[in-house]
Amino acid sequence: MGLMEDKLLVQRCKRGSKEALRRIYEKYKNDLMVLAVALLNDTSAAEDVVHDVFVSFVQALEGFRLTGTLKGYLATCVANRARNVNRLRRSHTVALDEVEPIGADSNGAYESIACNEQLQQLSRAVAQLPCQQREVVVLHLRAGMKFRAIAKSQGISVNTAKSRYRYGMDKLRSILNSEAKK
Amino acid sequence: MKPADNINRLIKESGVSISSEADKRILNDALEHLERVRQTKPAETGLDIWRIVMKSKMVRFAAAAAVILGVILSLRVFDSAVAPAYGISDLPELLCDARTLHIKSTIWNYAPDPNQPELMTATILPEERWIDLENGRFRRISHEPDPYTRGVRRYFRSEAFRDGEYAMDIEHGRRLVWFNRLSKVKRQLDMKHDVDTFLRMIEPEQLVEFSNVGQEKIDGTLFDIWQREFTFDSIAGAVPKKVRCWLSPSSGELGRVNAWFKTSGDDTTWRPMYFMEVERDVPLSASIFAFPDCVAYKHQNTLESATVGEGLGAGWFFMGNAKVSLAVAFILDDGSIILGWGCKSDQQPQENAFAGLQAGGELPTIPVVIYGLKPGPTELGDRPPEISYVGRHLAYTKKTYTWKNGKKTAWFYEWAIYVATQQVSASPTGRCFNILCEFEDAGERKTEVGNPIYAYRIFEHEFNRFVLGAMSELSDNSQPPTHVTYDSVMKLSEQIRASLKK
Repeated sequence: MGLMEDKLLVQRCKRGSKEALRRIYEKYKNDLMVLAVALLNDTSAAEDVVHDVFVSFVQALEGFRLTGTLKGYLATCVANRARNVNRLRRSHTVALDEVEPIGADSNGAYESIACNEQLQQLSRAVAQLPCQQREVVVLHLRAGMKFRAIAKSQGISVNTAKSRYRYGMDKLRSILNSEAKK
Repeated sequence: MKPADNINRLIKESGVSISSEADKRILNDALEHLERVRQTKPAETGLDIWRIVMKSKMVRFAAAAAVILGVILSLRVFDSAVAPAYGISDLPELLCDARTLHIKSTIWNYAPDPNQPELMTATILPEERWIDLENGRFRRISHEPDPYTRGVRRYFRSEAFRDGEYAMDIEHGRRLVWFNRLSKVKRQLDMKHDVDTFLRMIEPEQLVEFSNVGQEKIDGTLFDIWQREFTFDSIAGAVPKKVRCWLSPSSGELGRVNAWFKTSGDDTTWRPMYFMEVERDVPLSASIFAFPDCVAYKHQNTLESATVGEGLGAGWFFMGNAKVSLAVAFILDDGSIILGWGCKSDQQPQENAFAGLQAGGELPTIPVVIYGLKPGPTELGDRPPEISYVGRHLAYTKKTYTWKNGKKTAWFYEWAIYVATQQVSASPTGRCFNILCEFEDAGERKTEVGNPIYAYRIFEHEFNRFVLGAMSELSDNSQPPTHVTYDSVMKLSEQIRASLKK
């Protein structure tokens, strides 16, 4: 139902329906925002990415053909843009992987979403993951994308995507377990 | 429980929302870009140059189109990761992108056997259609039931040609030919109806199971066979129906669409309804659409003498002593309906009947008043919902027609808005409505359910083109009433709805 509904919404968008665009936006804005925050660790930058993704989506509508899920497509766009933002940050500052994890008392984006202790720990742990692993973990678990789709969107093999996911999850477990021991 | 045990759950549950400021900014910017893209698109999807029109004899087309619709309304979502290159869910997009369609159909027309009324016998009728979407041309060869025979079932061959502002109809049985001129807005609407409504419009809510039941090779091409069985709630009761669709997984070619039905749930035999062979994007030569010379036929009029006629070509009929013209009706996004209609009586001049009317207020007091609407059965024959629509004044226009003999007649068109007495959602496609009228007959005021009218489903972005376009065409100054805009109409219908609730 979701796939078909999305195809129809895209069709209507192509024909200029504002209502269809509104429906797409309302349907996916929160998922994309969570994804962007998870990848960028910055609410403001995440909002910019979501903004750019929707505007670009509209601009590319004419030649657009939906081959998979719309959510997957938009999530891939968010991931690609977030990667660019991270790359720019890295070139201006230090590598993101080397950045200290955001503490519970900082102004980081995860503070706003960490409504309990477990979520706070998780947000800190996700922020410590290398970008590539973080992307696969978040895209798979949060955006619900299949490894095949993630691999395709990142230009890597399915096995590499699975490996990154496995390493990412292992690392998350290790960080969270060590925090629990403290 | 360690946090690590819940990673999946935690990541899935973690939520963050966009600030209201950013929310507004993102949506507004996206909508603004959509508007910009729309404005820079050449010729608005070609509607202006597409000149296909299929006029009012929709039933014949609907018979075959219903099969397409039946298929379209039955699409199933499946996992794209394991799906072939083209699956049934791609069909709407494939049809939407079609430039030409050539459809050969066989239609089974069932009726009780005159000798054994308990038995049904079928007459098999061939039909062929060519649709040139790019150039807006259409031709159909079909068989119509002969209304001039009693007791004996007879059909005659008919042909319909549409090209630009002209239409030609040939009735081979009585050897008759007549021509029509077509209103610009009406032919765009009819084209929209054919292309948009039947081939493009699909509501996800209507989609149900469609499963792949096998494969078949036809002329060297391998097709997946997709099937859906369902029960159709017809006027006559629940009817089991089965639709099969042959779709090439490699090219997206739609080869065949077949449909069967059972007379009831107890019936063990699947009876054929329609079998269609579909060719998409085949070259269609101009000669297919050329109006033929029918020398031995009686011409009701000529191409030169063909006129558009009152009410965007709808013509008029009598109710009591007055002539009534149902021009056009639109279903809007919120389910409300705008209907343009006029009436004419020699006894009652109407100049003053519209003075001082307010949008949202009472309808004008004229010889025929269409005070309400009720949904009629769709072209698929489904049971209409029990809803009434109450009419209120929206606007009016005056159109003076000058005929070939120099005579002038003026018509006042009431553009009324009809709002449902209960919550309704706009249907995805157009549908027929029965008009509820009040009229004078032999000095008495009577109420009656009048002729049905087809209401076109119009979306926000089409409002100006079609609704205001129709109002302009039926106005002496070629302008729509200035207070009518999409937003003002939406607001007005909301106000009427609220007042009806009270």
